[in-house]
Amino acid sequence: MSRRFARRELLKTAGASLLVPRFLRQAFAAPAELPPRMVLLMQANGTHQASFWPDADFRSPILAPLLDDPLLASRTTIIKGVKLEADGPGNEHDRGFHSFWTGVRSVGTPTDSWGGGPSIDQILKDRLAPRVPYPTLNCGVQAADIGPKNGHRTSFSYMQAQKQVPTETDPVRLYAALFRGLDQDSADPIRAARRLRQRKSVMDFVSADIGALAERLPPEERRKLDLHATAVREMEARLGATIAPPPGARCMSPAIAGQPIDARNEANVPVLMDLMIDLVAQATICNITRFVTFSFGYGGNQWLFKWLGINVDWHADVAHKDTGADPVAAQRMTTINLWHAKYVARLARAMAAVPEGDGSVLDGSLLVWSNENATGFHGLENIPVVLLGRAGGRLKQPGRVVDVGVQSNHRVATSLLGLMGVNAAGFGSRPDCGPVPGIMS
Amino acid sequence: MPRFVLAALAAVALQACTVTAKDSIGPGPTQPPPPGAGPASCGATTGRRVRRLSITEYLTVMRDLIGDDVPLLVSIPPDPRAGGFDNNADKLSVNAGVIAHFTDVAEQVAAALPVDRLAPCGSGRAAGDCARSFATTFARRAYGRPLSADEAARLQNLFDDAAATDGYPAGIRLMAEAILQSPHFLYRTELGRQAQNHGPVALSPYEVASQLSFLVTGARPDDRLLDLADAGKLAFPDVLKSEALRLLETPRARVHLRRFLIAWLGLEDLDRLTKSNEFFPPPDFTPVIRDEMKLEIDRFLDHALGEGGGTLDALFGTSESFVTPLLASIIYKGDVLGPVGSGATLVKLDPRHRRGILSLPGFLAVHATVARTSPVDRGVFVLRRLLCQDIPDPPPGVFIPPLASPDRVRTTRQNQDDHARSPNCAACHVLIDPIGFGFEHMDGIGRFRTNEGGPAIDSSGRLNGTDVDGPFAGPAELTGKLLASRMVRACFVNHLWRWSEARDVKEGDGCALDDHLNNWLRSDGGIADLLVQFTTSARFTTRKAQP
Repeated sequence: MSRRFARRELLKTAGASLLVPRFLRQAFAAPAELPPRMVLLMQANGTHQASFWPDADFRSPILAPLLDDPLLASRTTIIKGVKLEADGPGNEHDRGFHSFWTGVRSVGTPTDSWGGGPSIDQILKDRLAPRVPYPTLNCGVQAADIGPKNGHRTSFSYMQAQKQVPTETDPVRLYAALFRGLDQDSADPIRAARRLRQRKSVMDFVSADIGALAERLPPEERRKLDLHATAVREMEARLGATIAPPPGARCMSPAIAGQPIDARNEANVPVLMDLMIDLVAQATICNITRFVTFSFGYGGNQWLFKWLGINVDWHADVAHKDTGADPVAAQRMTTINLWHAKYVARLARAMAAVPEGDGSVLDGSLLVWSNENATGFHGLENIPVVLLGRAGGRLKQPGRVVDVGVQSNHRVATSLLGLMGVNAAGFGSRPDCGPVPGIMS
Repeated sequence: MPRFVLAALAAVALQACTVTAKDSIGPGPTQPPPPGAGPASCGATTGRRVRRLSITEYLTVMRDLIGDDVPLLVSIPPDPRAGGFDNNADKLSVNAGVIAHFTDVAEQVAAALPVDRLAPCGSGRAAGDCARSFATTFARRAYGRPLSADEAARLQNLFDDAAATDGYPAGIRLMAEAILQSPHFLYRTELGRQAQNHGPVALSPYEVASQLSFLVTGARPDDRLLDLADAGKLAFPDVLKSEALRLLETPRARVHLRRFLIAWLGLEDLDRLTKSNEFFPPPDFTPVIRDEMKLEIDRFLDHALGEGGGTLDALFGTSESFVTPLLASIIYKGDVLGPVGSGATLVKLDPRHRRGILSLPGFLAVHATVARTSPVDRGVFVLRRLLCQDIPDPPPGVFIPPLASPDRVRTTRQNQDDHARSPNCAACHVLIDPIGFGFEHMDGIGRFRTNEGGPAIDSSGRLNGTDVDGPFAGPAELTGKLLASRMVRACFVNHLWRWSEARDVKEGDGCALDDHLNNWLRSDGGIADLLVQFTTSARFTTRKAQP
């Protein structure tokens, strides 16, 4: 498999007769009625608690990129007291990935544990069915190409029990999927219309095959093809669809138009982070996608952070040593978490720069930066959860720390559903848990 | 499923290590056969199902279909690895993103399809006839079975539509585009001819052909296998056996089985291995060294599968490997006996330090941390992958104390001993660490060492809770013990079975696993032997009606 290809080659190939854009930009259309955007960002290995929580002046060393900027600080809500309550096989890193946003008991064995049900992004997709080309998007930086031991810590987005949404880690590939064709509005309209009809007839052919095959399957197996049929339907809905970006949004990503980049090489992480965060920003701003899940690396991440001058295994030699008595580990944890905060700020700032309605795209969105663990040594109490944006006004009084005592991740998820406009009494295995108090207006 | 796995599932994870391992583990998977049944008649345990092709299989099949002259520019994210393998049928799924990749590839391949070569249409032939024969040939190889009349008619409609406006090649391309997105291309079926409510269901001849071909070569059946399926010959075990043997001789079987070994040994990420350059500064560890370690592993495994007959002895017991001059001078040093040629050449190694895969630099470097060795990682590898003991990760709620770094006074071993002393940790680490300690003479990039800057290395190790318990020193001695272990053989059968069935081992598999293990022990053969056994058992060609 070729892991690299240049956009140039892609576009060259795209000139072949079968390849015309799947969807087109419609710059001046009024945005359709859409739910708020949500981006869930998952970080690994916990935080240095003492450097994380803001002081009385709403300042913190780790959160400086957010809180030192008045624009972002006034849109930042920090939930204090979140406890990851999970059940089933897997250790804390596993649970961060397979239980935090599914809220159900994991399945599998102690060494090979998987999510036991759909995650919140997929639930939102099913409940709200936003009419955009990609209702959900799961991506990240070096989240998927990791050792077999942790095959299940590569995605926190689940369609069903055991069925992960694969994590896209290659920005060039992601660019091609999201933006290809948006710069080809002038394509021959007659040819484009004919091609569209052909594509639809191919999709019909495929759907008929899926339907006939599904009938021959036992019920459990049929669910596999149900997922496939749904995906094809979504694909078909994308064909010929137009997107309606907010006026003033630039819906191309010029940063990608360069050399191929090895998405598996750790030395490329800073570049990959820039590219991926910018792609997520563009895709959400331009209404190409609605609910995004993003992984800063895989669970129990072992990056060396050579670019921060750290050069030892984050998981074993930094996080696990940050137990209170090691100032070097504490400083490194702070530095690493600050590095993550800068990317959250980068994403938020890009969304804040585009006006929409009475405010900005950020005001019509909700970014959620959470962590698989609370501390570097597997703590699950006081997991740092940072919300950015206003969720279209549903978020009550941003710009503060909301200390909720001790509340489970189920209640946080229930609140997020509410902020997206989905009324839910609870989440996952706690159908009646209710939301975290004091967050929704 | 081996009983200890069930025990671990049923109990809190920590308890998996607190029970006396020997009592719970036993010599291998056992499950009494059904009453009145001999060992050869263990029933099918896999239900009727479909399997999405893994991305690896998908790309192989696609390449077979279109030849080498069509570029495949789009890459697809890898599948999740479940228990090490990327083909688990319960984990492979599709969503809009994956479908978009399949569609991209189908459209690009169709656009670049060499129509003249794959769908020639000489003067005097009707375009519709040429299209029909293309669809018949192309779909037969894409689906691994003949087209139905209905499928052929629907493809013909696509052809007619596109050809009418854009000409013959456009019609061919549109058919290809559809075939390459059909579930019959993207999945393998294991359904049999009709649904039944009880009793085993016989797979269709074409399903049997795909079973065999994917198992041995990771690809769709070739023309010969399909011809045999057409003729109904694949119902005969001796035909299946001779076909399995034929396929095992092909170069792609070698590549496919090497892929299995690499996944089993946890070596897939060797090509992107990084080390801290504070601890392993150049020239000790560089991308070039890493690539040569990978080359060595590949050559070693190919040799073990080929000349070595694919036996565990060839994998674990030999003191020869394919060493490059750079590896010899920087990693192996005095461990190479005799001259090294240019490139990776087969040389004899010092058998006191080097014996088999467990002492190769690539293996040792992967099973280590970025800065040091990792007795835990190496011990867990031996327990999980070679002995099939489902040692859990530290369970939730256990405080993990920091691990000190070795210095002039203390070794990694001493620090690890302190680190794992608490009763919560010791329950498992008393099994794990003594195995890992046995590797301590081999550093984080696979060099032999006598100290790590402080006291002399103590590499005395011990196996606990196995059928070959007792002390050993170094990977060479450990290997000797493992080769004598029935548990290791049982575990290998278990992994190969998991990979071949593309699912987790489940209750009821014990009968078949025992059966295969006993036959394998008698034959004393290699992996090929086991695969032939798999393919000739009745289970291979039947499925349970009810899951």
